[in-house]
Amino acid sequence: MKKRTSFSIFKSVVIALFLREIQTRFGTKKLGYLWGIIDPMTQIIMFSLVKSALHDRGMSGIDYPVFLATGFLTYNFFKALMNGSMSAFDANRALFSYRQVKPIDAIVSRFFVEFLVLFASITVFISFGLFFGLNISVKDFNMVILAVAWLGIFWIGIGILFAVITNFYETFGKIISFISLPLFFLSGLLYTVDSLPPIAREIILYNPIVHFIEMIHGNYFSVLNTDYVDYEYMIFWTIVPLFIGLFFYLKAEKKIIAS
Amino acid sequence: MIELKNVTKYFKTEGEKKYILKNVTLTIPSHVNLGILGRNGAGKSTLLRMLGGIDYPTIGTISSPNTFSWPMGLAGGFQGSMTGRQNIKFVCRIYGQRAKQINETIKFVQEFAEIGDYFDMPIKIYSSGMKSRLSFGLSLAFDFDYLIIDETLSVGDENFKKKAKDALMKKIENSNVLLVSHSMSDLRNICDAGILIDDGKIFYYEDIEDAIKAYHAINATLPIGQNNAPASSAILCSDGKHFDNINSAANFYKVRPMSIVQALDENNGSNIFLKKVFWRDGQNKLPFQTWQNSIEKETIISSDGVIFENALEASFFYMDRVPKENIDKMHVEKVMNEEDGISKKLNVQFYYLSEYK
Repeated sequence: MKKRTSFSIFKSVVIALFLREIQTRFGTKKLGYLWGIIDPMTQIIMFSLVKSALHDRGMSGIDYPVFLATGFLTYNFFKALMNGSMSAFDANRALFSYRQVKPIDAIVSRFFVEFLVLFASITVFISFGLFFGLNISVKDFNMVILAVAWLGIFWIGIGILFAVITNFYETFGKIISFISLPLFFLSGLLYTVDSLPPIAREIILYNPIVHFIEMIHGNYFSVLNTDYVDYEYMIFWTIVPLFIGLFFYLKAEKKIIAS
Repeated sequence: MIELKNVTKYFKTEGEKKYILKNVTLTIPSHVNLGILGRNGAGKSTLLRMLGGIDYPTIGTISSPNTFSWPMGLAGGFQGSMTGRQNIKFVCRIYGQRAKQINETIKFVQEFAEIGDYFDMPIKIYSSGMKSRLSFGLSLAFDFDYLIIDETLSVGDENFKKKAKDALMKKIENSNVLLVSHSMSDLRNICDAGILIDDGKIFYYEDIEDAIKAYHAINATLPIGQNNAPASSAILCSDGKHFDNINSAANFYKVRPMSIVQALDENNGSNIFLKKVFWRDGQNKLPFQTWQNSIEKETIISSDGVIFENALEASFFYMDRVPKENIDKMHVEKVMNEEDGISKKLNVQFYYLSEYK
C-alpha cells in the first residue's frame, strides 16, 4: 500500500465519515432532517403569536418572524454542533480500530454535516419567506455568511474542548447541557441588545454568543446595526478555546483512542 | 519490522495498576509471522492492538515503517443501518481509494462473502455469520504488510472456513501475520516465531515451537496458591474451547450453569454428564475422573447435567428454577418410578448415576 500524507489521510477520513453520517441519518431517522426545520418553525410561530398577543408593536422595518428565524436557525446550528461534538467520540469509538480514523476527524465531519443541515434549512426558510411575502432582503450578505462561518469556527474550538473533557469526566456533559438551558433566552435570539436596559445590556454582552447573533442581526436587517458587537472579544473567544481544546486534544488523543 | 522501546503498559483498576508490559525493549524482525501466546488476561489482545497501532503504551514507543490491517474480522466498525455495500465503501474511502478501486474492492468482497442479496440490505439484519463473512472478505481485499488477527480464524460453516483459510494462506505469501490464538495448531500452521507474554514480561522465540513449549511450561509450573486463584472468570474445557464465564459455557453445552459449577467445585472440574474436564483460567487442567462424592443408590443425574443426592433434592432444585410448572416434592421420584425418569413437565430425563453411562 502506498504511503499517503497525513493531510490526505485526514481528508479522506473526514469525507468518509461525512458521507457515513449522512447515510445513517437518512437511513435510521428520516424525520431527523425534518426536525431541523420543524423545530425552529414551531418556535417561530409560537413566539410570533405571543408577541402579537401582547400587542407589542415590534421593531419597525422588520418582519418579526424573519428576525426570529435568523436567531433560531443559528441557535439550532450551534446547539447541534455542541451535542454532536460532545457525543462524537463515543459514537465513533468502534471506528478507532481503523488506525486512520482519529477522534478529531469525527468532530470535523460532524461540523460539516451540521453546516449542510443549516444550509438546507436556510433554503427551506427562504422559500417559506418568499411564499408568505415576508421581507427577507439582506443588508450585507457577505458579512452574514462570515458571521455564520465564524460562529462555526468559534464553536468547533469549544466543541473540541468539551469533547475532550467529556471523554474523561462524563458528568461534565450533563453539567454543560444543564448550563446551556438558559442560553436560549440569554443569547439575544428574541430581542436586540439595544432594546435592553443598560444594566442588562452590560451583563448579556459577556456572553460571546450574543455578539455573533448581533453580528448576524445587524448585517441582515437594514434597520439594525452592529454597534454592540465587540470583534476583539469574539476573536478572543474563538482563539483561546480552540487553542486550549487542540492542546488538550493532542495531549489526550492516544488516551481517547485507547479508552 | 516493529520496534518496541522501553514500553510499559498498565491499566488502572480500582487504583491498582495492572501491568501488561513492564519496560520492554524488543525488535520484531521483518518477514516473520508472529504468534502471541499467554494466559487469558495476560494482555495478548492489548499487545496485538499496540503492535498494530490502535492502542498505545503508557510509557515508551512502538514504531514501525510498515502498514497494518485493522483486527481481522472486526465487525464492530460496521454501521447497522447502512448496507453491506455502504459499509465496505466507507472503509475503502478511509483508505483513500478512488471510485474505480472502490468498485474493484466491492466486487471482491461481494464474491468472497457469498451473502447474495443481503449485500444491499442493512447490516443489522445480518446473522453474525454473515457479518463475519463480510468483514473477513473486507480484510482480505486490502494489501497490508501485517495482518492482525485476534482469534477470528474460524468463521461460518465448514465450507466457508476452508475457503477463508485458503484465502488467508494465499494472502500470507505476500504479507505477514500477527496472530493471537488459543489454537496451537493454528499457531503452528501460520506462525514462524512466537511471543509469550506473562506477568508484564515478554519473551521472543524465533521458533514458534519453543514459544508453545514455554507457554505450556508456565501453565504447568504455577505455584499451587496462585493456581487456585483464578485470574478471571473464564472457563476452559478439555475439548479446547474456552468461555468468558460459566453461563456461556453452560449455554454452549446446553446444560444448566449448576452443572459446570458442580464439576468445578465438587469434582476437580470433571463433568460427568458431558464427559469433559473444565478448569478456571489460570488453573491447571486435571485428568477426568468419575464422581468423587459418595454415590448412593439414589444419586441422580439429569439430562441438563446436574447431579443430585436424591430425588427430593432434584425436585427442590427444579421447584426454584421452574416455578411455573408447580413441581411438587415427589415429582422426580414419581417420574423415576413411573416414567423411566422422563419428566415431560421439565423436559428433562433423570438417570440413576450408578446406571448412567
